[in-house]
Amino acid sequence: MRTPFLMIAGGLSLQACGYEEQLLITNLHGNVHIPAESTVRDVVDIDGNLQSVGPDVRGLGPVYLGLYSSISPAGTVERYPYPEIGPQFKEGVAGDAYPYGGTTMGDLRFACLQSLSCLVVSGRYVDYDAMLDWFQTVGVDVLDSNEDPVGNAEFIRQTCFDIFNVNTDREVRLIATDDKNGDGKVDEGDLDFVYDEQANEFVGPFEIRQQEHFYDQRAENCTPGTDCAAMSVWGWMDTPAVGSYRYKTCDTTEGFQFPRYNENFVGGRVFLDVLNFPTNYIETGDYAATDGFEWKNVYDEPEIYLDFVVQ
Amino acid sequence: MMAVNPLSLSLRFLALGGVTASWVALTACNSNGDRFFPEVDVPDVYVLTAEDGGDVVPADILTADDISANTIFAEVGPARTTGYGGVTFEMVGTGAPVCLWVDPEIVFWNEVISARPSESDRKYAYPDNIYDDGDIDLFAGLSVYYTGSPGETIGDFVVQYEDSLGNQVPVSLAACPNRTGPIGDPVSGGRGAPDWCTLPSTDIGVSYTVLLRTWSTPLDDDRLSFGLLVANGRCEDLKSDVLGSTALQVEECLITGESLSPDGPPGPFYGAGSVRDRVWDHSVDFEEQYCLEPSTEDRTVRMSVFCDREAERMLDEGRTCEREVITDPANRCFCGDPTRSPTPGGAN
Repeated sequence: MRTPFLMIAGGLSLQACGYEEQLLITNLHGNVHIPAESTVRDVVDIDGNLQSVGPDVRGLGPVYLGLYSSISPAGTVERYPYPEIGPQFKEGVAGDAYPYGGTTMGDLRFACLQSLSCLVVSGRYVDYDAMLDWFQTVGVDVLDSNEDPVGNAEFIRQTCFDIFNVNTDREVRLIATDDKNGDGKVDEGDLDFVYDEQANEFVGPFEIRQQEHFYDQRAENCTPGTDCAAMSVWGWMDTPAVGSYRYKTCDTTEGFQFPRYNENFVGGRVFLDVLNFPTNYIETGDYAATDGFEWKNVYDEPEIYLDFVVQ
Repeated sequence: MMAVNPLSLSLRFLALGGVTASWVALTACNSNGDRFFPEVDVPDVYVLTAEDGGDVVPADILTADDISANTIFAEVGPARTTGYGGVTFEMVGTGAPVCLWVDPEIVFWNEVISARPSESDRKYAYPDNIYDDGDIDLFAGLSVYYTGSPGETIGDFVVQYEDSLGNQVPVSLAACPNRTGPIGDPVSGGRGAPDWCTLPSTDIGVSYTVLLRTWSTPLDDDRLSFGLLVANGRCEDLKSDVLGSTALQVEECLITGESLSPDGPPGPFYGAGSVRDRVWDHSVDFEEQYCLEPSTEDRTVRMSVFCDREAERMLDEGRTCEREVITDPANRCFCGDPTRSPTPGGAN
C-alpha cells in the first residue's frame, strides 16, 4: 500500500531537484588601480615646515564600485565620468543611477573615539600605531573623552574593546589581522591596497559577491553572461578632505550610538545612497574611473583604473 | 519467481486509485481562496466621496472646531483577497499645499516594554487593548500615476523606468509619504499611529488620488474605524498652530473620536457631530489624556489617571474588564489588563 505513495513522492522530489531557476548569479572579481599621487599631501610638521607626505596607503579613502547599465564620459552627465541615470522627477534631486549592485573597498568605520568619527577607513592600517601615527603626521588631533591628546595607540585598541565588548582586533575590523597574501606575516601587504612602486600606484583586488548578471534584454545571437552587451562596473574614491581629512560619504548623524558618561555622540557611517547618487558626494580632488568595464563575461577579471582626477 | 499475494495487489491498486482521485479532485478545485478571509459587513475596497458625492475638497482650518467639523469618519474592512484593501478618494489640486491626515486606532499603543534612552520614546507600561488595533498607510500622488481601479482593486504609484539595457526599474512617483526614515526611504507613521503628509504644492485643476491602504484591522470584529482630514495648508502648521504643540503624542489628538462602535453602517460620516452616538464611550477622554504634554509632574501618571478612573468606574458598576472574549460591550476597557503590565500604573 505504501508503494504508490513512495513512487509518487519519489517522482515529485526528483522533479524538484531538476528545477533550473535560470538565474545568472556569480561572484565577480577584478582589481582597482589608484595613482599614488592621490595620497600625496603637503603638511606642516611640528617645526612649522612644509613637507610632503606620501605615497601612503593610509591616505586612500573608501573606494565605491557600482554596477550600472552604462557609463557616460566626462562632460556628458557630469564634469567627470558618470553612470547612466534615470529621469529626474524631483526638483533639486539628481536622477538616480539605479545600480544593479556594487561593493566598497575599505569601509568607513567608527574608530572608537569621537575625534576619529568619519576619519577612519578599514583596510588602510597595519596596526593601531600606524593609525595614530598617520593622524599625528597629517596634523589631525586624536583626542580622548577629556579632549586630551591620545599619545598611545594601545589606548585606541582598549577603548574599542571596551566599547564593543570584544577582545580581538578581528572583531573590531579596523586594522590588518589576516595574512591575506600568505607570506607568513601580517603587514602592509595584507591591506586592501598594496603600493606598486614600479607603476607608482596602489592596486587592490575586489570581489562583488552573489551578483546577478544584467544584460541587454534586446540582444540577439549571444549568450548572456558570456558575450551579450551587459552592465558596466565603475567606481570612484572619496579622497579625504584637505585639512580635516573627513570623508564626504560619511554621515555624521548616523552610525554607532555612543551615550555614556560624559560622552554622547554618533560614530558616523557611510551614506546609504552613494551608489545611487554619486554626484551628491563626488567633489574636487576625488578620483574616478575614466572608463567603465562592460562585464559581458562574468568570468572576466577587469582592471579598473581610477585615473580621472575630479577638478 | 516471487509469488504475488492477490490481496496485496488489490490493495495497491486501490491505493493508487485513491491517490489519483484525490489528485483530480484537487486540481479540479477552482477556489479563489475566499474561505480563508473573514466575512465582514464592511467593504474592503471602496471610493470615498465628499458629502455631496463629488471629489473631496480641502477645508480651511483655523480652529479646533474646524477640524472636528471637517473630519470624515468611516470604517474599512479587511482585504478579502490576497491583495491589499483600502479606501481611495480623488482631490483636485488647489495650487497650494494640502494636508492629508488619517488617524486609525484610538491611540498608538502596543506592548513594547523595552526601555529606550530617548525620553520621547519611552516604554509603554500598559498592555495593549487589542480591540481597537489597526493601521492604515497613507499614499497620495497624481491620479495619472495611480495603477489601481478605484473601488475595485488597490494599486500604487509605481511606474517602470527602462534603462539602456532594457531592464525595468520600478520607480515610485507617490508624493506621499514624503517623510524619510533612518535609511532615507519614505516612511509611514508606524503601526496604529496617525499618518499624515503634506503635498507641498498641488497643481490647480489637476486630479490627485489619495490611497488609505489597510494594513491591519482589529482582531475582534475586523472593522477598523478612522478619521480623515483633508485641509488647506501644511500639516506641520496645522499641528503647531491649531494644537499648539509639536510634540509627537499630540498627533493622536488632531482627530479625536475616530473609534466607532460597530453598531451601524460603516459610513462615511461627515463631521464629528454625525458620529456622536457611535463613538465609544470614554474614547475621547482616553485620547485627550494620552495627548497631554508630558511635564515632569505628570509624565509617569498621565495615563494612570484615565486607567485608575476606568478601574474605579468598572468597580462601581460591578463590572470586570474583558479582553479575550467580550460578552458585553460595556465591559470593554481601554486600559486592558493591568495585571499584565510590568509596572502597573506607570505608563509613560
